[in-house]
Parts: sequence; structure tokens; C-alpha cells
Amino acid sequence: MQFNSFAFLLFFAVVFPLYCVLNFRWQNRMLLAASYVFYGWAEPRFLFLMALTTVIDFFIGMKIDDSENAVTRKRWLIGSIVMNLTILGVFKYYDFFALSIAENLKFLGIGISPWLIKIGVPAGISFYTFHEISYTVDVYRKHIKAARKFEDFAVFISFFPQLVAGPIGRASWQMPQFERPRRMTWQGWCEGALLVLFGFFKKIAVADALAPLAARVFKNPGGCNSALLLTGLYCFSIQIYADFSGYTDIARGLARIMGFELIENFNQPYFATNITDFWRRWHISLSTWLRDYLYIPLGGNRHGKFNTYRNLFLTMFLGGLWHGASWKFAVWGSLHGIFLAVHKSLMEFKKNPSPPAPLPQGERGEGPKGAWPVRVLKIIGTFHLVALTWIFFSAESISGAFDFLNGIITRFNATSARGLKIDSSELNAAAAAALVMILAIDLPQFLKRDHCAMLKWPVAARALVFATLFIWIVMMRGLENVPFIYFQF
Amino acid sequence: MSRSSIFNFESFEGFKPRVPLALLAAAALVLCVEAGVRLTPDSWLIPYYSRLGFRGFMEHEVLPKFDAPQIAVMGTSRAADAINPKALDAALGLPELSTVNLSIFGSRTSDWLDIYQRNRAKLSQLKLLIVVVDEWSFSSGVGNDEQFCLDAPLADRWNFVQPAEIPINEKGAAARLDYLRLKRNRLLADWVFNMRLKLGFVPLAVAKSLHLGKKREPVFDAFHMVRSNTAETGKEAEDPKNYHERIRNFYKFFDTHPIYVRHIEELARLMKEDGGRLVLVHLPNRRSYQNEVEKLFPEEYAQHIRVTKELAMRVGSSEKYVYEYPEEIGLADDDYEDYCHLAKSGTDTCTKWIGDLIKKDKLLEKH
Repeated sequence: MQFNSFAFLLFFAVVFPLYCVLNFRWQNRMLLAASYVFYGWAEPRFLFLMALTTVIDFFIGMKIDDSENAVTRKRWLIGSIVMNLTILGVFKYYDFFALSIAENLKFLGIGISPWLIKIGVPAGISFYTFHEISYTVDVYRKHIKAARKFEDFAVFISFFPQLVAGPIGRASWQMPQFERPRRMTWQGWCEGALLVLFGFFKKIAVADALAPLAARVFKNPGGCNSALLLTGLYCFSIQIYADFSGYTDIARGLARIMGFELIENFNQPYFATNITDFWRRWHISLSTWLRDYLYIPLGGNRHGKFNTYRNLFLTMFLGGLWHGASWKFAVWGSLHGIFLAVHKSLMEFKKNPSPPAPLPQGERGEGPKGAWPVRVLKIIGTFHLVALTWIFFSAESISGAFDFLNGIITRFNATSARGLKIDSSELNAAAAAALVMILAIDLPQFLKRDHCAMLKWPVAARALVFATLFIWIVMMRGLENVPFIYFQF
Repeated sequence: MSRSSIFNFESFEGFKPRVPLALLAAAALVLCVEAGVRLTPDSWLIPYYSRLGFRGFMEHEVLPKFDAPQIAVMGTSRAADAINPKALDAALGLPELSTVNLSIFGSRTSDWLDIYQRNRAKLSQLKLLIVVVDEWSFSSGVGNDEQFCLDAPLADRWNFVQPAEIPINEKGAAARLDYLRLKRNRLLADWVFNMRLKLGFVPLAVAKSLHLGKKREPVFDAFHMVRSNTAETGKEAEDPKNYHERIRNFYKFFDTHPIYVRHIEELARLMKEDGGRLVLVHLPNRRSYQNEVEKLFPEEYAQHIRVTKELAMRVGSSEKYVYEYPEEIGLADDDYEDYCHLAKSGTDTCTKWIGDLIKKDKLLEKH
């Protein structure tokens, strides 16, 4: 089920009043049932998979918790990780790797036709698999006690606001919220409603409006000149941010209305002043997950410079592959890994202290500092570095990405193809409008370091903003429910 | 209720509600905007050259010129360019301004019914109403239905998800059902918020009031025609494959939706009630385009022709007026400006053909 659908509107209109009247035990049971309905709405065939891994990890969690023997605990943990990654690997990556191997063997003159699963990737499998791994690892590390009530654990895994596109739940942060009664507050309702409004605005008014324009450019990079390619790239950069952070805003908003606090996932990433800063602001739930469950176990920065850079690269390479079974995502992740390693080495060369680790939940760090012209230049530079990597993320293939890059560099004076049905003025206007709209939301949040800064504005200003956002959503609502980009992961 | 009850509202413990002033003020603002676009006269807000404004042009600028129309033509830009009312009057020996071409570019069956109902006092004088249908006239898969979104009765909106005839080869009935649901939801949303379709015209209307920018209006010409100016010429002539994108747009979600069919039935009923006759006509496409249609979507096209013929019989017309190929009415590729819009030579040929038909089949006589 998509947040931006009429079905979801009806779904929440039933679930929320029920949630309000039930005691917390029954709330969890009802939320569990609702989450399974939400997940199985379009494709019920993958429900069993989530249910199966949930049951297994619930028992493994208890086994780890109950055992005092370190070896036994470790065995159970490895069992859980292997089981989760095997299922993820089979359903998400098997066909991709089988085909890749077959292609490489064909190159060597060995022709094989691999057996393929061909049943599609279960929606959200990357997200709930990471929820589950986070749970068993946190239990193993004794950060949390294992859940003793199945419904508490099952609803943590399947909680519908975050199920298919995150934020990736961290057991140590979220499990306690399912194990004790929640309190709804007026403030929570206001903040939640504001986040939901922001989310729909970002998705419908910005991301969906830019999607067809960016898609046309990425589909036909050979037909575009440099300016059109660059504007198309800007459009996609804004689109993916608006789309994904819009989803997160809706998820966090819905959860907050119900008295939950989900992990923050975006913190105005395009205001980042360097690539490390970007990853502290972009998809925070993934970057911190990768840091805690991959980078640090790989050795982190504890074994010398080379190993640190290698670990950074490996972490981001795997983080790229996490997005999808395609080499283009691996290249995207690798580029980020390289950029992060280069930035880290530059910082060390300048003898700057290492960039601080991501902040604990609820803390938003320092606001803008330093001379603003320098800061603005850094922001623009970082944005372009990130945009460069989006070429690989969005292109249809790696060769398509190189065509795109080549076009930006070489086709300054070329005229764009006629068949493209897109004119540069339309694209420029769309990109500029989207930028203004995103800035209108992000700038107050960035300056005040508060996602709900607008709630402190005078009543008249708030009313004007709410009405404008709502009207814009109504105006821009198209006939199609454009799926959220991260649903495919 | 006791604390141990399943229903105990425990999440509300300590909940202190306040008056949501900003929310109420925002709702009031939204309501004001919506009321504003509803109360603002369309004649000020919506420019005549837009699809939504064209009906106003027909009603306020064209129809008043006709005191006693005997023949009316309704259809899309195809019909607007195909029939020359002045020439038809002359061919039939009728007084000038007896034939009115009320065709609106991009219009749907609902628009034609709507224009008849709104102007029934004058149009009830008609002896003959020629309705020219397009390939997509009965399909819910084509989006240009802004007027329907604004004016459709609630029952049509609510009942939009109903079995529509789909091509026999089509897979993915679930996807089609989703599409109909989406369209139903949007029709319902448009019933509540007219602003989606109207608010965007405000800057233009303000600019027009301030006499800024160029004035653009449709032209009622010396032949009593309002030509569509929608012809697109060029790359299609180079290679018929260039038609494919357009054809796919028309046929991608092709179906025959009962609501659109019923509009024609209702129109025929009103005509009959008023003592007139409705003739359902299908004008042929350019040959090179038609060949591509039949190559890409043969079953869809066959369904459209069959449904049109069946409807023609039901409404007291005849299936013989459903022309499929230009040769049938003496047209050649040169008579077309693009895939379906006729150039002047084509208009002359088509108008003469219609005139001869009316005389031969005595369509102006009481039946």
C-alpha cells in the first residue's frame, strides 16, 4: 500500500481511531494485523517470508538472551545473520549474480544458462532484514533484552509506517517503545501532522512533478546537450531527496501522531559542506546502521590508515549494493566510498580532528558556522559531488551513466534531439520551482535546527504555510500514484 | 471504563488538547480559495483558448449568432476542421446560419451532452445533430476530461469504477481496476476541490484584466467555423512510425466505458424528445496513420468500431455513417493536415459528402 493512495487514507482512518481507544497490548496486536494488511495489500505472496524470518529471529533473540555461554550466543547470532542474509541474497541478488556469472563465463567462451528464480524482489525486504539483524545484534551485544512477547517483536519488524522504505529501525531505540504504553500528546499530534504535510508536499508537489522530466533526460542522454543534462541531473537530485525524505517525513509523522519516535533519516543533506557531512545528513538510519553493524565490525579506523580507507570503501560498496541488484548501485556506493576515504585522508593531512560521529537521536548538533560565502561554496561543491554519483544511481546502466557524463562534458553547443519532447525552459522552470519549494521547507529547519520549526511561527504565518502546502498538493495531484523510489529497494 | 479493559484510552493520559488555531485558519483559507474559484465567473477566469474555456466561447460568442439553427455538429477538433457550416447551408439550400459547428477541441461525450443541456432552449430547434466520435471518445484511458471532472454528477463520479469493455487480448485487469479507482478518486476530489483545475488560471486572468501580454482567442471565421489550429505536421510525414507515440497515448489504457457511452444515449434521448434526430458519424483518419493504428492496436480499434456501430443502431442512427477509411468519402492523404485534421481541400470534400448524405437519406425530414 502506498502512502499517497486513497486506500491508505481509508486504512489510516480505520487504524488510528482503533489505536486511540485500545490499551497498549491490544494496540500492538492491532498494529501487527494492520501492518500485515498494509504489506500484503498489493502482493500478499511475500507475507510468509516476513512472518517466517520474524518467528525465527524472535526465538533466536530469546536463545541469545537466555544463554550465558559466549560461544553459544555467537552461534545463535551467526545463525540469525546467515538466515537473514541468505533470504535477502536469494530473493534480491540471486538472479543478478547468476546472470552476471553467466555473462562473464560467456565472455570466456563457456556458455551456461543459469536457473533463475524470477519471482521479483519482495517489497521492503532490505529494510526489514536490517531491522531483524539490528535486533539480534543488539541483543547479542546486550544493548537490549530479548523481546518476550511475540507481538511486540513482530510489530517492531513490521510497523507499517517504516516497513517498506524505512527509516531502518534500530532495536535499541525502538523496541522499548513497543514494550511499554505510549502517550499521545498534543505536541506530538501537531508535529506529526506537520511532518505528514511536509512529506506529501515533497512527494506530490516536488518529486512527482520532477519525475517525468528527469526520466526523459536519463532515458535519452544521447539526445541532450550539456545544459539539458545538467538540469536533468539537478531535477533528479531534488526528486530523489524530495521523494525519499517525503516518505520518511510521512512515516515519522504518522508514528509521532501515535506516540512513537522513529529514527531521524534526513537532516537537510544538501546543506552538507563535505561528503562526510553529507552522510551524516542523508539516509541517516542506513549510514549509522552500516557504521555500527559493518564498518566497526570490519575494524573501523582501528587498524591503520589503509585498513580504514579499505573499510570505508567496502562499507559504501556494500551499502550501494544494498540499494539494488545492479552494478550501477555498486559503482554509486564505491564512488561514495572513495570520496569518503579521500575526504578522511585530506582531513588527516590538514591535521584536522576526525569528523565527529553521528549524533545520538534527538540531538541536532551545531547550526551553521564559519564565513557564509565559504560555507555556501562548500555546500555547492558537495552538492555537485553528490549529484555526480546520482548519475550512476539513476542511469539505466553503467554505460548509460558514462554517456550521460560524456554528454555533460562534451556537448556544450549541441542542440537537443527533437523527439525528446522536452524543452530546456520547461526543465529550467521545473528545476527552479522545485529548488525554491524544497528550500522553503528546508531552510527554516536548517537555520533553527528543528524539523518542526514552523510550529513556533505566529498563527497567521503557520496558517498561510499550511494552506499553501495543502493547495499545492491538491493542484499537483496527478492521476497516477507514482511509487516512492525507495519502494524498489 | 476500567483500566484493564481492552478499550481504555490509556494513550490519552495527560493529553491536553488545545484549539488548533493555525489549522482552523488554514482550513478557512483553503475554503475561501475554493469558494473564490467557484464563485468567480468562468468568463473572467478561464481563457477561451483553453480546453475548459472553449465551451464558454461556443456558448457566448458562437451560438448567439445562430437564431434558429437546424443542424448542429458536435465533436472534437477533428469535427471542427471537417465541416464547413456555411458551405453546408449552401449545399442544402438552407438560410445562412442554419448550421452551427459546436465542436470543441479535445472534448468528450460529456461536453457534448453538457452543451446541449445548457443551451437546450435554442438547440431544441435542431432537426439534426451530427455527433462525430473519435477513437478515444468512449475510453476512460484518455485524460482530457477537465470539464467532466468539474461538472460530472456525483453519481457518475461515485460509480466510475464499473465494468468497462476492454480489448480481449488485454492482460492486467487488476492494473486497469487500479486505474479506474484512481480516476474515480480524482473525480471525487475534484467534486470537493474545483481549485485543482481552476486556480492555475488566476495569474492569466489577472494578467488579462491588467491588459498584460498578448490577447489570444479562438476565431469564428467567415465560413462560420472555429478551426482548431491543433494540426501538427512534420515528422509524421517523414516516417509513419512517428505516429506511434500518439497512437500509444490513445490506446494505452483503451476501454469502452459505459458512462461515456451513456452520454451519447442521453443526448439522443433529448434530441428525440425535442423532435430532432441524432446521427453518429465516425470520420476516417489519414490512411498512413490508420495503417499504423491497425498494425499496433488491431483489437482495440475493432472494438471501437464495433461499439460505435452498435451505439449508432441503438440511438436511431445508422452504422453506415461509421467511416473507417478516407477513400470511403473521397479523401486522400493530401486532404489532411496531420493524422486526422483536414486541410481546406479535405473540409470541402467532407462537407460536400455530408451535405449529399443529408439530402440522400433525408435526414432533415421528420422521422
